[in-house]
Amino acid sequence: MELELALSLSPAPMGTTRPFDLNCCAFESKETSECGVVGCKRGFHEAFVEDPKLGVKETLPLLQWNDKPNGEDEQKSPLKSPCSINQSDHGEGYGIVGWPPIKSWRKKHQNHQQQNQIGVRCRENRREVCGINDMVIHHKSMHVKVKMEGEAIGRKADISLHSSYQSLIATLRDMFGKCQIDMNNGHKDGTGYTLAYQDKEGDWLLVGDVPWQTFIQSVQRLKIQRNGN
Amino acid sequence: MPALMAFSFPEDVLEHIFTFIDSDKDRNSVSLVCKSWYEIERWSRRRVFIGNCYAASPRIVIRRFPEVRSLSLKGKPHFADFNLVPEGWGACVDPWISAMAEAYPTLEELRLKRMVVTDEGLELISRAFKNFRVLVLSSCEGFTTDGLGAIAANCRNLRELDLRECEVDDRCGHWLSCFPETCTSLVSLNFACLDGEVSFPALERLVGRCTNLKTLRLNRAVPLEKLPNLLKRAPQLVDLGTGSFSVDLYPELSSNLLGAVTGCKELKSLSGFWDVAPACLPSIYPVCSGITSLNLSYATIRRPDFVKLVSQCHNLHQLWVLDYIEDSGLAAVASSCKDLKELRVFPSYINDAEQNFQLTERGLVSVSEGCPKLRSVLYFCHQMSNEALFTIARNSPNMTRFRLCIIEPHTPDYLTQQSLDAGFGAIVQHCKGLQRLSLSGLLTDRVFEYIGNYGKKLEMLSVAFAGESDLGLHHVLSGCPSLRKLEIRDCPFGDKALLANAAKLETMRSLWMSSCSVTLGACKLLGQKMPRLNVEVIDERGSPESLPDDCLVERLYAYRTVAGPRFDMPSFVWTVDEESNSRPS
Repeated sequence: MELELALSLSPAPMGTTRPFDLNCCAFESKETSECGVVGCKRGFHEAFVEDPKLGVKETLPLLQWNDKPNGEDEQKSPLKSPCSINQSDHGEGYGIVGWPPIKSWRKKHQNHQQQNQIGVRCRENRREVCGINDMVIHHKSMHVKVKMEGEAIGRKADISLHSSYQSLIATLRDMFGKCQIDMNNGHKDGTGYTLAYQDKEGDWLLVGDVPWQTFIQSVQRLKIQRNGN
Repeated sequence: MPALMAFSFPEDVLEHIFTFIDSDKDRNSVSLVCKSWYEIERWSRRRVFIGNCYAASPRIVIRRFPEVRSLSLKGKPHFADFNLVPEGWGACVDPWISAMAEAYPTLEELRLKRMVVTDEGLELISRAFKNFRVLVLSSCEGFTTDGLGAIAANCRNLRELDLRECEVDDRCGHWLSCFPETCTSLVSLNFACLDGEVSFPALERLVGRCTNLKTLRLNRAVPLEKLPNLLKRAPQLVDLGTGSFSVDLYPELSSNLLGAVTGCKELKSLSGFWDVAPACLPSIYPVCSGITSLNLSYATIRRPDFVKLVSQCHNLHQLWVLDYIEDSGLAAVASSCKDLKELRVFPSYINDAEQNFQLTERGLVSVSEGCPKLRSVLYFCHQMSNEALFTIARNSPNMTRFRLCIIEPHTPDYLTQQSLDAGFGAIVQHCKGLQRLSLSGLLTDRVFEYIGNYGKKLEMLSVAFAGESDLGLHHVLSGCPSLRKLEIRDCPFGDKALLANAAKLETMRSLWMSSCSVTLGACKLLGQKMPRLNVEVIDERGSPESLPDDCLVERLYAYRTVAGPRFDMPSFVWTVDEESNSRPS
């Protein structure tokens, strides 16, 4: 059963909206309409479609006002999304940053519960030692400060979200927008950046020298320094 | 005019009358009547709410309202909840606290949302405000339990300490033990979001001596064995958030727990249920009939156990659950909870594509059919149809908040393979009081036409992966007379619609656009032409000076402000305005 959506072209009560004229850089007052189309749509036409000064091509789909009044859609071709979907992870919509829109706090705590639930069910189903009995996955976030040489503001990275040096470095590259961060003097020609960390004793060491598990137990803070210093 | 002045009330009478005016809107109207009313009002305003901390500044607020007792501040844009705002963006509350420490020594309440709070700030609060009573931190971060310890130790009259989904560095110290033995004033204590253990003896003593305690929300680290003792000490509780809700030796515990729960005759709200074991649920059956709010959104209980529970909750107004309960679980809600006003269904397996259970649009439709008072919905699912949306629109004309998230972007109507424009159109047309709307699924520019035309009361709109051209954005910005917040991600909306409706942005609190088609040049133009807007470009690729005008910005955040551009921006944020083309911090 369909509803009839009556789309009348009555003006929206917009006292404050005025067309924005790119040419004279000042607001024009809203003119009264002499044609049948009123309100918001006219403003748009004025500014961008009917004004020849602006040289806008008149191929904009907004001109198609011959819609069916009950709102049935014509067949649309698949939409081209402009931007941030990572097609390789498209899957169930889970590979996209910040999507689905669930608070990160909730994601974190739900995930850990699921892992614990798996542990609990194992205990309930198999009274004998199954090896998972002792597996308690408590997520504890490990934020360490990250300072990049030459940047006034430091950032923070959650080491516990990573399981390898590569993943940490990839995140740091994203965070600082620098592709040349690497471990262990990867750039012999003096360009790029090196990653160093401060351990529990306060010593500064190069990242990558010790196994990952050892690293995460001792890292206190990170530093990204320019090579050639 | 002399004749009129002869009839005006003396100031102190007016001031007394104004004390009965509570709402911000009314007070704002009062302040516009005339200069003397403005003056009287500003001296008598005790509560200030600032929806965007950068829309004003501490100095401006203090100058206008010298006698404030309660401040509410919101910081980061809403999409920060989903990691779309890089860390370090701003919204640190410390400058506010420092300024108020001098100007408002009698400050009693501070409520913050999405702000960065530091231990130093918390310590300053605890020392500077002798009569501090209420601290509510929602989705805040940047502090540790040491800061909480300072609040506990120094705020002699603390009534509320309420931490909602904050990211707190838990030092596993003894912050709770910092409440002195003389503290008896607590009415509300919520530490559900903390990770670490608290001292159980200290908690029991605290709960026992705070005889006015109405809200107690424990964290996961409080095991179920500890709950009976706590409840026996606080039978007056109205709002309980349990800790962990499972235990190996349940039969021994069960009668003790059941008795303790039964003793809480005032309970209206239940939450928590971490690690819930279904066998433990019967212990809360005695209070189900009185419960009006139930949050099971961290409880992976299956449909049969859920149905047994919810079919006893006849007075439920608010229900938060996981999609694990399936359509049939929601059907049970529809038949048992006739007074339901708010429903939120969250997805349970976030990183697992396997769906072994059935939650579809049918669950929501059945709730809309069975619950005539339904007015607030947040629903995550994998499929939707226009037909279902028509039905929901018809059944729930009083809907005020409707947020639908179909998890896969661009998902069409699964029955017809068409867009969901008509379905959402029906929602905005029939729900005339709709204030908040979130869209998802396959949507063309048409849906925005409906929204612009019919969304007369719409205040907040969230859009993702929708639309085809600037026309979509133009429909919204040129319609929707009540629009205050618009947030958009991954839509093909660009410069034309934005610039054509620039003036609209000054009537709104803020606009967020990320991964859209807005160019740097348009942002600069907007910033130059609209001096009362801060137009922030948040882009981690480099300074706007180094990028061409026709390049697309990663994120745009434009908001109205009386405080001018801010000066605390990190290196990846620029305010583009008229003084220079771009201004870094």
